[in-house]
Amino acid sequence: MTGLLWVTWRQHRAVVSWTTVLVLVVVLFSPDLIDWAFRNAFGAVVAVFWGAPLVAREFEERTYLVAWGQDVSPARWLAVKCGLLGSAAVVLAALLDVRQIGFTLFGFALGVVAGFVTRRTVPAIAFTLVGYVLVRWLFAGETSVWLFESSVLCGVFGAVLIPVAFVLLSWRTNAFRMGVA
Amino acid sequence: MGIHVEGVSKWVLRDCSFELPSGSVTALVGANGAGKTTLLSLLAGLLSADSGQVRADGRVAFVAQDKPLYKHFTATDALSFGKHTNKVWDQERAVGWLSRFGVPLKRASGRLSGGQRAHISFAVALGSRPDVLLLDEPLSELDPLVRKEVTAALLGFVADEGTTLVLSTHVVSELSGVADRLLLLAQGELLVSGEVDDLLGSHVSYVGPVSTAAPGPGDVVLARHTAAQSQFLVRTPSPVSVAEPWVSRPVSLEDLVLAHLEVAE
Repeated sequence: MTGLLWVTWRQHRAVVSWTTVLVLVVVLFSPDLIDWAFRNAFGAVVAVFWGAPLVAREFEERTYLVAWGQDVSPARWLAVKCGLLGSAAVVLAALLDVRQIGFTLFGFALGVVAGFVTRRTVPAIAFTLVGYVLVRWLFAGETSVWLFESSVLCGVFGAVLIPVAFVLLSWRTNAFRMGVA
Repeated sequence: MGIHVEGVSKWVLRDCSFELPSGSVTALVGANGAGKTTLLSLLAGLLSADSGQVRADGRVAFVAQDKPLYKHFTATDALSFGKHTNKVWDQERAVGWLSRFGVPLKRASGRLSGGQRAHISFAVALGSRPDVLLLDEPLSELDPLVRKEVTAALLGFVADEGTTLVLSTHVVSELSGVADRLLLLAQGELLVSGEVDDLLGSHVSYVGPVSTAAPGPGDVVLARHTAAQSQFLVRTPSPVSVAEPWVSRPVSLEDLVLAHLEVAE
């Protein structure tokens, strides 16, 4: 592994590993009730444990000064982290239920944005959880809202939130400066 | 030119302009809150200026004052992080620094002392072989006994490579013999900027009987009066000798900095 792929794995391997194990156990062995509950909670798990700490912890422990102070530009750092972790979350969501993909993407993006807003891990988690549950509740049920199924709608929200994260990044730092490793 | 700053304002900083030639060693001094960290963050590209231009030629490395590191990373992980996030990486140099200062390679940095963490931060910065190295209060976490050795080692590295070094400090006594240039900030304003030799040559101290005015030419930076004598620290392009009973004395870098800082308070 090289470059930011190494960095992403080294920093997030623990949370990615335990989430993967949990998903595999649920998919392969779990009884129906736990199965149903976990499938529906997966987006929240990714939101709270993958998305929210992503930048909140960097601010809280002041390591953003290290992460964004190397040759790699902050924008590239965020793009690679969101790309890799977002893709991994989508694959795991798809293993559970295709409908979870949209919810999971939304949760992840909401968590990242919350991290920029609060700059603290625990408030970012709280903010994310409240926002996630609120949106899931507003667009609950199997019925379609505005012609979209709620999962698709949440996926669209997630796709909108990711550019918001880049705007917030460029407020905090000289995100797109030259120099790419 | 190593660093070029023109008319830069950001937060407390107001309209700062200066140039630092490549390979120079600059001490950035000022009281807490004077804008030292803001200025270094701008030079590092971590902040964007509200107005004005900042240009640092080449690759820049920055070590923040509190020496942040990922708590779960060992020193080895931190060096791998440096290798994977920089275009240039010198593993030998980075490991050499850690072994020189006896930093354990396999222990999580959260369980190391402040001094050991500072050395890991220096090792990552030096390993990336920067053209411009920015150190914010580099010695603050270190044991007084090793400060001299660390300073000498850092200066050795930058001299060998022609690196442009800027280091901030509020410990004025650590300055002598370190920097060849001085930047002095007070409340966001750049009060003094220039080569140390020129600055020492253009400041002089007059000591004599109690008086309200300085006995020689120059702008009075600081006047001190006791019951028996007066002392004026003045800035003048060409210090002259003064008539008896006054004497003129050269000033040290420490005197000069302290006088400017005291007046700015």
